[in-house]
Amino acid sequence: MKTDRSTYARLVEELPYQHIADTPTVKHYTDWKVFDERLNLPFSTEVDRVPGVLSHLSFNVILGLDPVIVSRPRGVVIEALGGEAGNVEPMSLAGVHDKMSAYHAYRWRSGVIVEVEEGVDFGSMILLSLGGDAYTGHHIILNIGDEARGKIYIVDYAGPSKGLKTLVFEGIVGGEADVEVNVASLHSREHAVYTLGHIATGRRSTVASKILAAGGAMSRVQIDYIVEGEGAVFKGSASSIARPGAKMDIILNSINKGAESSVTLSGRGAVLNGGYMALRGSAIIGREARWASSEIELHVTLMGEAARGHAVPILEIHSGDVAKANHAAGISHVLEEQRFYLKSRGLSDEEAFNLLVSGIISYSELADDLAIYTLDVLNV
Amino acid sequence: MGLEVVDLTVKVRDKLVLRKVSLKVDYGTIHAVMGPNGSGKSSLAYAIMGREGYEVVEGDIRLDGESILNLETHERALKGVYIGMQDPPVVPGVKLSTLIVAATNKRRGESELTKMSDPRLVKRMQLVSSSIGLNTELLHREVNVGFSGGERKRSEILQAIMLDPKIVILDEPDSGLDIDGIKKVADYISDLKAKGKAVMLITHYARLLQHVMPDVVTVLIDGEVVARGGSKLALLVEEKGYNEVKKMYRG
Repeated sequence: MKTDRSTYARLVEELPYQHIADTPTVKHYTDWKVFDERLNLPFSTEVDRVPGVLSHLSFNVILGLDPVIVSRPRGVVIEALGGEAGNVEPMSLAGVHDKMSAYHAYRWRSGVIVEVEEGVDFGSMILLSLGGDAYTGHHIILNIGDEARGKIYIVDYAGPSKGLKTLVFEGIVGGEADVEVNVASLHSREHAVYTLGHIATGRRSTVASKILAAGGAMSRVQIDYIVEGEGAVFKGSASSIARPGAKMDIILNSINKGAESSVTLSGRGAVLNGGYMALRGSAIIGREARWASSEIELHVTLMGEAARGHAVPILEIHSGDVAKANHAAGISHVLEEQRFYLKSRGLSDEEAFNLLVSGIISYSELADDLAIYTLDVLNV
Repeated sequence: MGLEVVDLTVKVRDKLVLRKVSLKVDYGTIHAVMGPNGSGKSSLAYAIMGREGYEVVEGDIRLDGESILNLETHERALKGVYIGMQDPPVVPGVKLSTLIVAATNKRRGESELTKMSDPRLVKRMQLVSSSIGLNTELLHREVNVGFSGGERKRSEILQAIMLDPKIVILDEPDSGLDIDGIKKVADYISDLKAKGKAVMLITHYARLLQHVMPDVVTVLIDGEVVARGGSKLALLVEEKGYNEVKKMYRG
């Protein structure tokens, strides 16, 4: 049954940005004020141009004011979603529990549903979501059939305007499928972006997810991986960079629900002088996930005296039988010792700095996949 | 010719860590620098590499007869001086292979440091890694992150082989290694000598020197040279201890 948009409008008024403080010592890792100041923006009348750093890519879908379906890989059906009173029933998996997800459900206008047939090897497909001069909202639904194979890239770009963008993607990966669902969130330092992902994986599926994030005025990027199927394997890795003036809250959550399922999540963040980043993640092993394993490891490197950051991993175990469970986090300044070490290999100060930054940017390998020169990410 | 340290006095903050130290490391020789903890062995290596905070109060450091005192660390490295650190730091985000590629590209004058311009380089990295007992999977891991003590030592040696320096300073390359590991390191050091490199081998114990025959041994205590001799000096240190050797040489 379809929910009337006015219901979501009411929820935007009623729901808080978050229900509880993030931790006893830090109330909000996201600066919600930046979103609050932009909630009344009108709909964008112009969307961003594809920036040079992405211009070499062949997009299958471009989400701007309206969805543009450029091409469909073999065995893949892509249909447009959205419109003011159109086929709107978002948040079917993730739910609407807070102000920003209600806001997205109320206002998004452009989206696609991607259906991958069973057993199809679709190669790769790239879906581009562009920001605009005011508010832009995009919604993507992925239904990936059993035993399907291929790589999906969601490129979440927001250009140099003081706009607001919401992007929600939700997907189901079928049993014994072997896919990647990768996300590049590249936001200019003027834009505020709320990105929410929710991927559920089927029995004995193998799912990988590479993340590359460069933050904006406030970028909150949360992706929840629900490893539902028995024996499902999930591996996620993230690279994120907070440039001067940028604020980011990157949250990667996993929940093992399937018996003998396996999760490995790791993230690296670099915060330049004047930037802010929270790199967070929860690894939760559910009650029914017997003999499951989950590992999460996050590290943030502060690359200047005025860089601020948090690395926050959480491990919750609800099952009595666990194969493996680890969590680790680190946060450090670039040490004189590290600079000396790199310089002793023949690199100048600037080259050592760039190597550290590009190393973190290329950690998830998504920059390589998309053929993005790592230092170009700094100039988005 | 090779490396020459002349009357070198160095302070860190306000503390003198080296006093009038002089030594020569000629090409095709191994010069062992021994001393107890805190004697200034690592400070000597850092001063030679021009590490920040190691202020040269007087004296000189010369490479092939030319002073390198005014060169920055990376410039000394590019001139052919290499340090294998005793406890190398973790470098999150930078893979070991990426570091080697960048350092190699820099020496070759490539504009993009991290671009793999020569596929043979990867093959060579793998071959060398295997030959020194370093798991090749570590090439794809971040530098020293999660490496054991022995893996860190082998990684330092791998980089030394790949970068092919003229002067190789190895700071306690045997610590954290088992006997087989020590023998491999010893073989590598002997090989360096055979190739005409100048090797400065910093070591705390003489156990590595049972497998490598140094040409010259210098003993440092409290930042000063207290004894110098041939390979037999290392055996004397092992037998008598540092203080006794100091008394024997200094009276």
